[in-house]
Amino acid sequence: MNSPAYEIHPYSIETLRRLLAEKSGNSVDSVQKKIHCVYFNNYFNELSAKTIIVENSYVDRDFLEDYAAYYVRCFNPYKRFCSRLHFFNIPITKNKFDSMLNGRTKKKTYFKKFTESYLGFVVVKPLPETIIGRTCLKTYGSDNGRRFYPIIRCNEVNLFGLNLRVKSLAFQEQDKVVAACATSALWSTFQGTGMMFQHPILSPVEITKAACDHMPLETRAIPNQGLSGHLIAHAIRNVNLEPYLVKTLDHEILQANIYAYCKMGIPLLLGIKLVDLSKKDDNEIGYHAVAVTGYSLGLDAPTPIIGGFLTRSAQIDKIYVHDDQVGPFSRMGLEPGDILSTSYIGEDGNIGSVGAIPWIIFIPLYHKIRIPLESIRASVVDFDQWVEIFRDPGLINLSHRLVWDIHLTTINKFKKSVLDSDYTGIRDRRDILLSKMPRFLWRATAFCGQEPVLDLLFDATDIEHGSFLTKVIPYYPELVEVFKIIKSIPELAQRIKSGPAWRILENNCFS
Amino acid sequence: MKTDKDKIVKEIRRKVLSKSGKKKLEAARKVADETIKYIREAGRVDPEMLKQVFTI
Repeated sequence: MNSPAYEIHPYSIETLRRLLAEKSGNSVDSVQKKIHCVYFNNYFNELSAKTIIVENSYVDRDFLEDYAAYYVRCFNPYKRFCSRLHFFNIPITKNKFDSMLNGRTKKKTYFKKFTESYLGFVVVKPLPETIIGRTCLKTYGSDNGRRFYPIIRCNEVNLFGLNLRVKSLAFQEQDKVVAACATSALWSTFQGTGMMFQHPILSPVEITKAACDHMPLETRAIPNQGLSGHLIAHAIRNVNLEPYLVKTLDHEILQANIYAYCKMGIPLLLGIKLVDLSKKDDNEIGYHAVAVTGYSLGLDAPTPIIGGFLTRSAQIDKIYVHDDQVGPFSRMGLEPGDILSTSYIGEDGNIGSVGAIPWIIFIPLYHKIRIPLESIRASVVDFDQWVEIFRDPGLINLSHRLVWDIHLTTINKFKKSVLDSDYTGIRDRRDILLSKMPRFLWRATAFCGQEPVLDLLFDATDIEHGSFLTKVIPYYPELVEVFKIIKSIPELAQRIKSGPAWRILENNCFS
Repeated sequence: MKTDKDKIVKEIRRKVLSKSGKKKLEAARKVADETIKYIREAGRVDPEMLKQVFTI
């Protein structure tokens, strides 16, 4: 019997579980065991979901690629059509929806209400166990500017001719056949970088094949058992991006890199080691990969690193990741001991009893982004320490130690922020907007309390051993004036020249 | 903004380039060097790490 083109159900977690089971051809019991169901329960409650519209027989491009590469040749006749579940935060009746399709509802206000109530969709794949396909769900609210999801983009959705939109980043569960965790994390990562750097967005099977293209595994690539660091890096190169790798055993390094790159909209792939904290011995579960898609600046004050250097990134208390075993934008808390909290269930049966040790991050960069964060931070740390040397005895009149906001940006984003800024301390606003600048910039803004003191703009496309400071924007001219005097004292000038702060202080602004 | 250069130079000599000031300066420079070393080295990837297979 053919299923109807669509179905409408009031939302409840029981209905969602039943639909996931029914549309994928699995039992409710097996679906109920998935962590995704627990996650979706909390997520849709937070988003106040009221209605599910099921789009039966939906053709999903990614699944079709996987189907053509693997499932079509199985003896078992797997279906090639998926179902798509759409979520709304208003009650919608079949009559009302029918009348919209029939053209009987002409009221623009209802269409507006309908489109505004859209929360996103979940594609259900007709496979055993691994059923969550392409998923785009609205994010949680910002919670007074604490939560940041800089990677999300507008996804256009067409439901029987009705145009809907959801701001999200696509997520999907690994199918454990053509894709393991690393492939799923890469797939989500490429959804973000593809739009930003205009590269093709590969399907999971294409990513796995690309990763193993010239670097064959000891064992077969498909069915896929996982990707090594080498293969992940190779998959990133395959879409013409450069993989930049950072060891993240230390929370400070993790925070700094996530903040610096994610703020511009670049998702990162994070490799973690899962450990069962409910077990004392032999608690290592294995290595897993997730895509970092956001962060929470939940700490009131930054935790200082050696010597008291303060950064905005050190206020990160949680990161949001697309974890294919949990769900989109799932939360990982930064816990003491350089460990991350997770939503996994340990041997004691409790959610959250599994921790994650951040191991390595893969940063997919456009080839012209050449100067790494470390070089910028080294220059800024050195400069900051010089500021402290003169601030401490009262030679620079700043009430607090500077807090640095260091992140990658583009010329367009930077100029827009200058144009939109209502901060009166920006002198020569017009000149800044008309000046020539490279496409990619490192921006280091120093704050004293809430007030900006200085903006340092570094050319991210330059040579690392060169002088890559492009522009200094002083919001607090006294700081510049004092450094001009400091530079005129030979023994201090010579001392400054021996460190990376010279890169900043040799700028014309300080002459 | 105009600053009284001579006065500031004098203050710098008294507070930063005096014997006790220099001690503080040396300590501050040492801290800066340690922080820079940490920043440059803590994130450096050991090639062995790339052999790890992400399987879960």
